[in-house]
Amino acid sequence: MMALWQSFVELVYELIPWLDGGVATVLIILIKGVALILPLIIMMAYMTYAERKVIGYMQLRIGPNRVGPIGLLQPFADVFKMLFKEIIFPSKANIYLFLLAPILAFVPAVAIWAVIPLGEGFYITNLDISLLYVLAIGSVGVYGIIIAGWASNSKYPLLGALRSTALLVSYEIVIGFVAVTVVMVASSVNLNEIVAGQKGGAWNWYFIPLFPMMIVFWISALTETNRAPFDVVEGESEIVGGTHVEYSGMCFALFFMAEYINMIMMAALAVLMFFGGWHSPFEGIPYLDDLFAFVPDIMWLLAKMSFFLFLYLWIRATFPRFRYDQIMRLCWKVFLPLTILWIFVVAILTQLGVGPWF
Amino acid sequence: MFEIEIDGKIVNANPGENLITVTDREGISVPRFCYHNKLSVSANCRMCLVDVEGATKPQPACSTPVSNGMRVSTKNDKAKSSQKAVMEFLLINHPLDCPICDQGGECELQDVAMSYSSDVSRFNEGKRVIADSDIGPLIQTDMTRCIHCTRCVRFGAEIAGIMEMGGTGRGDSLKIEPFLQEGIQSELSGNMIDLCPVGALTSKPFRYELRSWQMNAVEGIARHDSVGSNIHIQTYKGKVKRVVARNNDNINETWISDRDRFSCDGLNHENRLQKPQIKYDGVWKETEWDTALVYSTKALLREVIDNKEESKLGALASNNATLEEYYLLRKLLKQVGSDNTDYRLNIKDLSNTINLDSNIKIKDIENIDYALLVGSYTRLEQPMINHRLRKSSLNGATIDVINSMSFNYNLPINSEYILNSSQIANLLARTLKAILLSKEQEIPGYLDKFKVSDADTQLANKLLSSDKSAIILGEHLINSDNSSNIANLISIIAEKTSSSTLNLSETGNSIAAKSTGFVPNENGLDANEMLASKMNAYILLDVYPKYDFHNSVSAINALRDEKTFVIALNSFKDSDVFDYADVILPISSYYETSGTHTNVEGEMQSFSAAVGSPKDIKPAWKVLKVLADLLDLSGFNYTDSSKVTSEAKQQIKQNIEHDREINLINTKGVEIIWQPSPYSTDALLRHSNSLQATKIGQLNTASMSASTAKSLKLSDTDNYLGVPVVISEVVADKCVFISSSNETISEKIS
Amino acid sequence: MLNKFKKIIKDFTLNELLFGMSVTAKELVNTKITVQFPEERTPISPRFRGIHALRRYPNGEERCIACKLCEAVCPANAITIESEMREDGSRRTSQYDIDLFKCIFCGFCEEACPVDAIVETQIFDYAFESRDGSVLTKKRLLEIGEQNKKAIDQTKLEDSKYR
Repeated sequence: MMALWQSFVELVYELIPWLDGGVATVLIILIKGVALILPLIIMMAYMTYAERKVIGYMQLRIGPNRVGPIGLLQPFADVFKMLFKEIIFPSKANIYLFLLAPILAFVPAVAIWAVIPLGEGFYITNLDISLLYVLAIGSVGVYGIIIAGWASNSKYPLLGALRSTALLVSYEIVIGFVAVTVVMVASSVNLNEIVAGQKGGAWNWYFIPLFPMMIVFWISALTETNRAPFDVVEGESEIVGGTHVEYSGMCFALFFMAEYINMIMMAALAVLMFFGGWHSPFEGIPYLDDLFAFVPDIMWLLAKMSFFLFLYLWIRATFPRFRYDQIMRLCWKVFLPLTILWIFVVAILTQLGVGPWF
Repeated sequence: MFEIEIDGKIVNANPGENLITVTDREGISVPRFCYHNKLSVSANCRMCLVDVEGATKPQPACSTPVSNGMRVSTKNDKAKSSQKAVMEFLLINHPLDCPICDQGGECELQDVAMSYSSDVSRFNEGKRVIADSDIGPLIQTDMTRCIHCTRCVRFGAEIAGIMEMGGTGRGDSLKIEPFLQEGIQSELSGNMIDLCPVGALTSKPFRYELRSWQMNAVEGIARHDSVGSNIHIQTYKGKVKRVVARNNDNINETWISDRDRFSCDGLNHENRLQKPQIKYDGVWKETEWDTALVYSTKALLREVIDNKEESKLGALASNNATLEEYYLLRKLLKQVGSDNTDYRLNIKDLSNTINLDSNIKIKDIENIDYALLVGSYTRLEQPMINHRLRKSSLNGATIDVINSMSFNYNLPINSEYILNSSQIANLLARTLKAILLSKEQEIPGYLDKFKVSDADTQLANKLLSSDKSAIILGEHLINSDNSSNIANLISIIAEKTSSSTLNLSETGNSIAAKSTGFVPNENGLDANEMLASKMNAYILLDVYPKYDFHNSVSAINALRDEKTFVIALNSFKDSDVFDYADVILPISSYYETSGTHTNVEGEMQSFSAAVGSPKDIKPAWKVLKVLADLLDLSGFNYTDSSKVTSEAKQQIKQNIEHDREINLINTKGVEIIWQPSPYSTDALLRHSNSLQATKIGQLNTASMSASTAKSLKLSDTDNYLGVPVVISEVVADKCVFISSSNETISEKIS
Repeated sequence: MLNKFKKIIKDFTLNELLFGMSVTAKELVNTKITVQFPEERTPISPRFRGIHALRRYPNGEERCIACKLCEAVCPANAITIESEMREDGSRRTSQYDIDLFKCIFCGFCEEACPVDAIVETQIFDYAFESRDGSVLTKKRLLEIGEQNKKAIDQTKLEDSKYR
């Protein structure tokens, strides 16, 4: 994979020799960006399709099936619908902030992907503190929501923004502590190195020693991405569409895309931190290893991510929305003590050097 | 007074009462069809059968007199089963066509059948069918539905005075039908529609229009005569659809005249004025109210108010405006500095008018024992007064008539004097002399020349001998040379014989006009003087010169003068209005405006608007108020018409003093009495198609005796003043009595 | 104490959550009951109350006699009728409007009609593209009756046994 990429970059340099190095670099960066964002958006679009289909099936329906074969073109229909819809500005809204909010939600969601490695050496940037970067940029997304709530000049968005801000800030602490346990095990904050630490078969993956942390991380991920059953930012029964009430057309679509890209990012993060990243589960097993040798490493990553993305939909189809105070209680009274406790456990285990992980 | 027991309840009853009167008073419901409390008892529907203890058979409550200690059950098995049996028999021949019957929803048979009939009919034989007969433009018949209650027959015989409907045949072939081919001609015929308990007689103009439950009923006052009958105005979606009677025992009992009932047809006539119009350089243009009012204001300022040398403004009103409108127009003119207001448009000589105060209540007329009817055909002109007179006659009163023509009264007339107006004056003078002689009182000088005959003494004695006598003066004599003399003689005779007087020459709402001071005072010009002297401007309130003025041709000519600015407040289009007016302001007609009607006994009855005025049509009182505001006049801050009413009522003049000078004149030449047909006395009536289609609406005769015709060189094929001549021996000599409908009035000259 | 311990174990193993997820997982592979609407239709009772229609007699004469009972019984005041005398003297409607925005499809009009003129058909998939399309005029109602004559007669026949 990486070799392919390198030859492509060389090709670019060859094709445009009249460019000086600086411009070519910028061009390369732009191409890299497009190469990252395009598949991401298509993934996101089909994620919505998958969501409707899966939830439909779980509810004994068959979901979208009118646009294209088995409804496969539905996401494009949705995109065009969104594009052509009018953006309505509430009469007393602050228009600049109103427009800034969806951008602030969308940009960090995409920016995180700069440091997510997708395969062996297949990344846009190999940042040494990439996990910290992920946590930091992830927090910026909150601004999108709170600014949207405030700029709408409407009571439901404001309430929704307040609820979701409090929630996100709280669960970031939990995610931070979970990350600390992973970092303790991997002795690195570089995602590449965290994955490298899990090399060699499924038993090397960190979800085994950090199993409770994996659960805590996943539940927190649901909260961070405002997904059911923790989607109190919306809550139709109480605050209608929450932050999104006043948004329509592409403005709304940006929030929507940010949410789905964040979902994909969280799935990727879970795979990278706990499930060995792009490593095959059969590494080191004599017969199976050879059998699956032809599978590119990125496919393993995507397959594992797919399971987590499916989990999102499965959970959404199963559980009703939590009450706000219940979510807060879960965060502060259950997860936080649990993660702190597990830091000590991991510390002890690290000192003892148990198993293949430490 | 004794006690009887009905359904276990001890109630008081008066001897001679029928059971149903007691049950009605006590609120015990007994079903009935033929019984009506204003009609005689016939007991032929048998629906009111009740069980009287001691009687073997159930007894009809409507014809069973109460007796002391009577025990009656209206609801026990015996009563119920007989009522149900009667109901079943009534329904045998009644078609089940309720869905297409106009009575549906207000049908007594339907209502009673709901509680007294079974679901399924046991009658499998063929039903009786009766062919309908056309009985005129007002009543639709469907005699198959008739249940032979004979209310309509009894109404004709007892109330209307002509038995137009009657039963022919017996048993199964009994039919209720009009006796005459011409159909129903009574002026009260519409009441049969109200009386009919089923859908056999329904309103023809209202046919298939609406269900009773769709309409709102608003209480109102009929303003076509000086009785002010109480009515319910039924409206639907902002339009008047039907008028029915409202009970008021002091005024109209439960009856109303056809004129009051069917006039509402005219409200939605295509001839209604819809928008204000202004004449610019001889061309009429529709405009908005603002423009029209500002234009009128400017013209009034230019022609009258700022024109100090020649400021002559006149206001003329018809006699069917409301009290408020008269008051506001009078107030407006007064503030502008003009006293020229008048409503007496149909009087030739305004210095010689009838001034007679009425001092009898309408409900007391039925109790008099002698009435002298002077110059009036009450039956058509004031039907409800006539109904009371008829009642008094049935109670034994003697009615004498003095008039220039004999009419078809529906009550027995004792003696009838067919005289022309000078002869009438002389007769009254001789009678007065006879009265004074018999009372041995001083004879004034003007009576010296009269010799009292036996006939005069007889008339005088009738007046003197009766306890409760009344002299009723009608509108036929308003334009005679002796009209004020006749009025004064009548008031003196009434005073000497302590009779009551009733002045029916004031029709419509003219009593209100008079009481608000709409007649000119010493400084003002009266209607005739206004027309004679060139006025700078006129405000005409609901005036239709062709019909309203005694001399329509000269009146229109006077109004047409180029230097005269005419503001016409009209509700209907009139061919002439475009000729003489400069601004036409469309005003609300009857039932669309609130106001007050003063009837002949002085009862002021206020009414509210039953419907809103159509889009660009405004109530006249509002138009006058805004006009006054635009003229910067003070004291016009009315928010609704009741404010005007209360202000006007404070300034009402009761019993205006007038002198009783008598100066008898002998009329020379032929006297013309122009009496409009009763269905063309105001614009609304003239536009009611159903009323115009009736025989009364089409009255169009110039009646005269053979000798008069000879002197005028006319035969009965000729027209006189545009009206066909009828030679009749019941008209006084040297008299032409013209009764004309609206179609032909073109050369009206009195 | 034991129960409490059991509960803690249950809570921390996410027992109930997993059970819930197993239910949805099972349904994921169950047979679907969706009816593909325009192509497939579920059976409709003869008493189904869909869009209205005015019927005619076999000789082509319209049944409605403008008795206004349906207008009176309509709980939503959706029916507006204006009646008039037709040239032949019979009582007919000059206007018969049903406002579908007001109509609650209770079927009272059908029950009230003495001549079975107004009926509710089995048609429920109708649409209109302008606001005034929501008012079914007399013309439109007669058209619907004309177009679905057979179906209406059939359903009335089927239902007649139970009336």
